[in-house]
Amino acid sequence: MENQDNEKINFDFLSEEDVQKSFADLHSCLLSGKHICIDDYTFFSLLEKYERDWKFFYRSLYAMNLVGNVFDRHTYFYLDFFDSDKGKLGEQSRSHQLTEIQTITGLVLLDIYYHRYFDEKKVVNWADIQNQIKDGEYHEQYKKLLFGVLRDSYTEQEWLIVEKRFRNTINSFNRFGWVSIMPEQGKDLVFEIKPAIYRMSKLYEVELSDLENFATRLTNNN
Amino acid sequence: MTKRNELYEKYEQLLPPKFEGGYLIVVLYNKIKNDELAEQFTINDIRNTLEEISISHGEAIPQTERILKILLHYYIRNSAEKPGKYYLTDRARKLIEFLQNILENPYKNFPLKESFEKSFAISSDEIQTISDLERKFGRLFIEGPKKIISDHLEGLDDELIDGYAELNKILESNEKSVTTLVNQFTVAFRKFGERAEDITNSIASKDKFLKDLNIIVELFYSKLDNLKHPESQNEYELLDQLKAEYGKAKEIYLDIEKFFDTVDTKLTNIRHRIHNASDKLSELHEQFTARAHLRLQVKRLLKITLDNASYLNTGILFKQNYPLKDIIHENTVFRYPGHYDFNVSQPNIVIRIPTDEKYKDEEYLKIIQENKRQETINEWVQKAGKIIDEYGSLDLRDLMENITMEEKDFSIAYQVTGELENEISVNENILIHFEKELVNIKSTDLSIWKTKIMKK
Repeated sequence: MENQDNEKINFDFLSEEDVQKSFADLHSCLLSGKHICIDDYTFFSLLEKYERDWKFFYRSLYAMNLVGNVFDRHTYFYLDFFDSDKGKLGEQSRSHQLTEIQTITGLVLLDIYYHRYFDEKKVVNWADIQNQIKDGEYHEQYKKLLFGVLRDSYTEQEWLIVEKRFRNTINSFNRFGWVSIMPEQGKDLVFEIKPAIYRMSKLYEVELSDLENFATRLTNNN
Repeated sequence: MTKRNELYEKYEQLLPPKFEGGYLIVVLYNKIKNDELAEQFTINDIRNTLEEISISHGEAIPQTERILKILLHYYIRNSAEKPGKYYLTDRARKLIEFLQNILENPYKNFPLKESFEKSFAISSDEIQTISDLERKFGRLFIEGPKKIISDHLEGLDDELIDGYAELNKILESNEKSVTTLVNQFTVAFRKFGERAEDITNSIASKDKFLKDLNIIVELFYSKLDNLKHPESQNEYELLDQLKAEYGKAKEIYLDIEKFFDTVDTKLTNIRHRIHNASDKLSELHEQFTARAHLRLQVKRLLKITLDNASYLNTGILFKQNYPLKDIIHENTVFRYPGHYDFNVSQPNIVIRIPTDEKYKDEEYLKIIQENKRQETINEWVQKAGKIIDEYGSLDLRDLMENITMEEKDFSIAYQVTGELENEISVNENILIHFEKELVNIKSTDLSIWKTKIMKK
């Protein structure tokens, strides 16, 4: 049955006019690690229209998995490695390992997303983040990790360094398509958390399925 | 511009900050209302109240005279009859009532539809003249009803914002029983449903009102339309009057229509928000447990992650075996040096085109054939030379016929003749003899003069 299906799929869709028009941009966008949601309407509609063909294209030529995931009623597409195999982009230079600050920020933003689950748009600014660090549930840990010491207040200079780091992280998330920075806000950092932030829980799917075990393993090995 | 500057300059007197008199007015107002203080109070009352405020908020006690100076502009006055006594101005009371109104919007609990029907309805025969219309819906008279609707919409908006907060709070709670959660949601959501129905009804009654109003405007127009062409001075005056009445009616209609446009925009926003919440609610019914469970899991993962991280000068470091994850990242860069010429010499890339064997063979064959032809021609020319040497003469027709016969190609015979003539024309010992007699060459349709080549 599967073989029969495969027979029908080929690369013919690449000669469609709408695909040809956007192929180069869409292709490099996906390879750069971007998660594409309906905001990128042209790309999104092309992926949706020829989803089976694209999947076949990336599986056969790149040994990669084009994933169409749904979270909070929104679909987003991205390229992923197949399990245990990094495909043709397996070399170090072709994949990006999330840094520690990216991992923590990603989880924090996912948490905020859930926190504002009923808001139509989850818009966050630097002041919100600053409040989390100052008075949030894990404020002690945040302070220790970001400033190195636990104090009641920090100097403007210290905050500037933390803000800069956070800004860089958000810029990278903007490139991944996990957030979208709102340009009209001038100097202040204001961004919307997109449903694609759910990718974080996809990345940690195994760990999330058995947190007890994960926590024990970390404690034992350290 | 001046007015705006004045607003900036006097801002603190107009809206005193909370510890600079702001709270003082509120507390004085409440005390008077609760009969704890007389309408006219003394400077000591003010001083005591300021002290109470500072103590309960942990602030330093401000100087009474300084605060009084700020408030004496707009909010507190000296009593003219009783020196040393002060009273709150009407403005101060209005301000506090206005603020309370924002918090406890009185329209919150009334259906919007009722407000609409009360303020915007036309009963039959109610409007006969333009004055009736102006008195009822003219710009000045309609301000009140408009404000009621605007306040109502604002109340609705606030209510929905509160509703959202409530929904988010329920989602966040650690409650695990699905039934309890869904019940809580349904209660919070009932309000949304009731509002949606109210809004739909209001829009319907609003549309009906606009239709009725339009009929009245049309009535004024038809009066104007039915007027016969004016002839007398009186008739001209009547025409002008009817024109003006129609103009006024139209203006009233446009004003209300414009107001309703803004109402529409606000209602659309509110409805949109209700729909959104409704979609989420039905989604939650389906997968509530999974969602709430996952949310708690994510929070726990964050906690574990934070517990396994430590501070570094340059950033954060995870303990050794904390798994970091990979995502795809291949930067494809296209460079188009369209606008710049950096004078970089372009390497000459030789494109190797594969040999076209068939074409090559064909061409090769052509060359060989041509070579062979040349050889054949040469051979015949030499042969002819020998014949002349041996026999002293040669008949050109015989020669050409022989060649044509043997080589099956007349063009060779023709070329041999040409070559031969070239050669012998420089040889003084050989003579070409023509006779003016046409001879035909066999198996061709060509004739030549009878020609003999002979030695002298």
